[in-house]
Amino acid sequence: MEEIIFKTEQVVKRYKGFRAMLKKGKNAANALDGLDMEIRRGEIYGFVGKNGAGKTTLLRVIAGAVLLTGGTMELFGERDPEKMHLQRRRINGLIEGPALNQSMTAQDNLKVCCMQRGLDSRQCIDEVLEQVGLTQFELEKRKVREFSLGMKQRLGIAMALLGKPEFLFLDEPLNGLDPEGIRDFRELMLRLNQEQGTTILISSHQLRELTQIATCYGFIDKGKMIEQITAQELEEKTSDGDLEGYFLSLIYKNKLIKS
Amino acid sequence: MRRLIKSELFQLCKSESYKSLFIICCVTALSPVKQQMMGRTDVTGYEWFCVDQLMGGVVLIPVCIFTADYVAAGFSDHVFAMSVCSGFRRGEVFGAKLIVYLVGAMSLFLGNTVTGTVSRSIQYGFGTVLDSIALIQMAKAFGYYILTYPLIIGMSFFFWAVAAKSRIGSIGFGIISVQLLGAVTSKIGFRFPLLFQWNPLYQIHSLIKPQTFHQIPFHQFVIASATWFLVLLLLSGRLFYHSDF
Repeated sequence: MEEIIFKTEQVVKRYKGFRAMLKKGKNAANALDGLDMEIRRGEIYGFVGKNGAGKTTLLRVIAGAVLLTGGTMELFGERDPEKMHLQRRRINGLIEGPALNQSMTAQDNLKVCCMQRGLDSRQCIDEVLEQVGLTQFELEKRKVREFSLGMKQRLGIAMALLGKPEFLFLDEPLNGLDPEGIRDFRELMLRLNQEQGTTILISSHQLRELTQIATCYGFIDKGKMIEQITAQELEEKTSDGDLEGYFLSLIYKNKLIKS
Repeated sequence: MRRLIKSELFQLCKSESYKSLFIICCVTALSPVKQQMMGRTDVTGYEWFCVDQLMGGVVLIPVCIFTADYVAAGFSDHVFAMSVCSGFRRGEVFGAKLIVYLVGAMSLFLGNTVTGTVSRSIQYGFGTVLDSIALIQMAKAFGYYILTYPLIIGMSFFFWAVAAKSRIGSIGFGIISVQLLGAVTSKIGFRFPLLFQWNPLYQIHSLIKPQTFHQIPFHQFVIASATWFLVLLLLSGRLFYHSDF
């Protein structure tokens, strides 16, 4: 069995702040509420959940953007939060929206990422450009504020691909992409996974697209993992691999159990 | 951390808003409004350098906007998240941001200084012979200026940017806190010198209005400024370390 590269044990994230404290209910402010999760090397992990379930919070935890309130996280076997930054050099991702400087060109934005990761910008930028389908002209001449949503999303994906990360995590990567872009994205993910062995975590509401690439799934609701299954198990349980139907039935079951 | 500082400097140099704010800081130095309000119109370059620029004024606004745009925006625009995801510790991200911020803020203040001194020297002459006494006086005034404005006031703005985590909060709290401190010091500071003498703004007032404010030795000013800077630095660092990006 492949090694576990990412693992969480009973992770809890409670956002601080005045508004969070005012919310009623015992765990109203818990974005993650005892989440257990495992991702093995080489998987394309489809992360599925309702709005506000905690998907983005988990991805922010992986990136180090938020600190855990409780529980433990393991990244490439490292549990010590003080040393986690060393393992983060092996990962990259796209959370909520790309961190773009609107007054710079796309090439300059990519250069900033290359500088931070200690990469040779000339080589890396050309490579990721080709992968996401943004032309050199668009990168050099236009400022990011002039880009459409889809072009910004492609640029965000390009920034996430810099440095050939071993573990790539993407939050709603298909937002704003046209049908051609979605197809290219699908092919790119499959190519990265098969040729480079990249482990990929994708959080998406586009379940039909997810079923075409994911090798396993995790279903999250109210900050807890309801179920983790492989694509093969999903096929066996639903006979036609209907991810949407399975997900909705899980949510309904979960509601019944809680009530 | 060197890579991070390099990338931050790169972004700062490419920033259109920073370039605009630099120009604004230079233009504010050309404005004679402050001097006209005080009934003085023919302020020489030397007087401006040693006295008038110590009063601060309108230049604080573009610096506060720069702080909001460069520091506070790092939270909402996922810039800090990207840096942490690239494999840097939070302390390194904070340190790089602070270093480049101080460089940027210093440049804005210095632009104001140079423009004001040169423009007034052209208009009304330098005002004195550039001998050793004048140079010592200018060095002392410059020391007061650099410690008070880029370091203490700039650090205050930085603290509010980290605390507020939003552009509007950073600008609002930054301007209000500095104006409040300045107003309180000028109105009642001279009545309670024992309490206020460790406030760097009191010491600036003692240079501008020596008839009202008790003059403080320079070394005491340096100690007071260093203490304020360290306290604001530690508070900002602690807030940043425990923040969600």
